[in-house]
Amino acid sequence: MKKTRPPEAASVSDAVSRRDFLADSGRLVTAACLAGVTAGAVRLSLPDVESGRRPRARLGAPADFKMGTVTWLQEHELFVCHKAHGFAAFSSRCPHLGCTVRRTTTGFRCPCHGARFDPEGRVVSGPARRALDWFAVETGPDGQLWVDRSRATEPGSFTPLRVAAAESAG
Amino acid sequence: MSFVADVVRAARALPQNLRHDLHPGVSADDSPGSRLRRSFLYHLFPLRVTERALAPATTFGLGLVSVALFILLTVTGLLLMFYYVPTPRDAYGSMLDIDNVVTFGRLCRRLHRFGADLMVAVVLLHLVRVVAQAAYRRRELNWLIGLGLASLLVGLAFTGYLLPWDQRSYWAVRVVTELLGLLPVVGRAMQLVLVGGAEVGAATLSRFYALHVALLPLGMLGCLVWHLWRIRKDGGLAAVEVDPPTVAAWPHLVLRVSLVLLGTTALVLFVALVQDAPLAPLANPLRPENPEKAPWYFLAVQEMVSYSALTGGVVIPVLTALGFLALPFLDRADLDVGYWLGARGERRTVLVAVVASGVVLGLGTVAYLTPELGAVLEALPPWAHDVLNPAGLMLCWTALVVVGTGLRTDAVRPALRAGIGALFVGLCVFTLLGMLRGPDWGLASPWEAFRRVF
Ligand code: HEM
Ligand code: FES
Repeated sequence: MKKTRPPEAASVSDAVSRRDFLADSGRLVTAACLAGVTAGAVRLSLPDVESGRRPRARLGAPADFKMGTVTWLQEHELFVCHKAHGFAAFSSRCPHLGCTVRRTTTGFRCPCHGARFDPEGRVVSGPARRALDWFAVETGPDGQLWVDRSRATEPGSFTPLRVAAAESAG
Repeated sequence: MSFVADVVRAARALPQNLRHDLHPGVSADDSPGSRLRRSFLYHLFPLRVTERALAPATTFGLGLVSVALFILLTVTGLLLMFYYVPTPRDAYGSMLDIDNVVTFGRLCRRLHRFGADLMVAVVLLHLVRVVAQAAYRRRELNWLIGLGLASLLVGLAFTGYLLPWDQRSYWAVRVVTELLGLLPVVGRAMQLVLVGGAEVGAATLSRFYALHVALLPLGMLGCLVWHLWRIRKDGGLAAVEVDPPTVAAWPHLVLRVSLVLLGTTALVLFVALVQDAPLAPLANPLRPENPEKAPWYFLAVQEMVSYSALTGGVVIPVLTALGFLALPFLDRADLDVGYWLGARGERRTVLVAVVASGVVLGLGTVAYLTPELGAVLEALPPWAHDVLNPAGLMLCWTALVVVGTGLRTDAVRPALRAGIGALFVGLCVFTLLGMLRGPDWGLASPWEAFRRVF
């Protein structure tokens, strides 16, 4: 069918009618309100205060950790290792998906999906793609051993502590 | 004294009046049709249904069984809420109370647990039925609503799993929320919203409880009503015939629906009477059980995640979801809609693809587990581990099957069906393997694995 509408009528119908304008405005406002409420609800669900642990924590007196041992500190989820060349602390959380690893005769093993680590926490086999997390260890002004989780260190890097060496030697 | 007479007359007529006033839809001389039209419950049904829709082998009543289970789960869930306390301190104790102190508590908990297990299985089969009959054709919206129902169901199964606060629930949730964090872009936010803090704890339990008893069930109820309404709007079950023979919905459909509801309830009740619902020891945030196993419907994912968190936990689930979303928009053929697996030639192609998948994926997985190949793979750089494993093999093989079948048959539908078949075969292999996993995620003999379960 051919269009028979005169040109001026076409231009009039191109203009938005009052009814359509109001209806569209209404829809727009409704959509904007819904979007705003949704965004607010999502924001509310994101927790502002995270009850996590502090990065620095006191592990105990250096003498508590005997030379040549690896001690598991449950409440810190850390292994503390004392060797001739110093102290080290690394996480007992599996870097795969966060289960707690266990000690075995050859290192560590995770019960959740079978990741295996050597005695210094490097991946031997399984789904973990990186070693257990190592953190810096230092002595505080109180002479106690502290861990600083904000400072990651390489697996196998021990902090030589003279106090500790003297104590455990004596 | 007419007051007394009025009261006596009203009292005498009470039974009859109650029947008439409270149940206006039904009277003895009503025709079946008007009964359907005037009663609220029955007006869910159409007046007439096709004979084919009533034949058991058309749907196996799978959607209906899902509806029955939804009702059962709602009722038993509400009853459990009377005793369950959603805090880390009291949750486990209240589970013990429900099992050992509350009259009928143990039965109610078993009904809820086994009803949920069955619903996951039945909804999966319902989805398979819809795919195998191409019943999503010209029902694109209802297919998407169905996928929404499926994701709500997964959400309900997962949030419900945490509530007992036993070892299994605690560690399953810790692992899965960690996995969510790996999703690109939205992962970290989703993890925070679910966990409600840095660690799985009281905030997590509150959130899971709210999701499990309110948000997700309400969402499911809404989607369910929409899903059922869409079936009628789409003109009943998918079929190719133009004017198929029909019968009156009353009594044929109503009777069958009642039987399915009753049968489903009876089945779950039977299982609940003979089998105990599991409860592991109290959650210990410092020490996972060994092995820590997911429920059966998540075992395939757990197995894949034990090869690679990225491939098995993120890439494959996301691609599968996208594939299912796209399905009715890729397959546009009207041929054989509503019939099991269509033409005979196509059936053979799909069957061959499924059998070949079983062989390839089974052998590939066994090869991966041999120490010889293990030693070779271990020497490779870390990124290679994410690709060169049975989950990666399944992904590549499925892609190959889709392209290969598509080129061979020069049609979209058999290609998609063969691909879905390959995917299911792979997931079955991984589920079986997951069942065999023992302490330290090592493989146990089938007999040992069986003994652990029962
Ligand atoms: C809570 C879960 C679900 C319930 C309770 C449910 C319920 C039902 C019911 C009662 C029917 C009627 C036919 C039958 O019994 O098979 C049906 C049909 C249908 N369902 Fe579902 N469903 C669910 C999930 C799904 C899922 C996951 C999908 C797929 C993504 C889906 C897609 C469809 C489609 C396309 C139809 C129409 C089939 C046809 O026309 O033949 N549904 N559903
Ligand atoms: S969480 Fe340790 S292997 Fe998965």
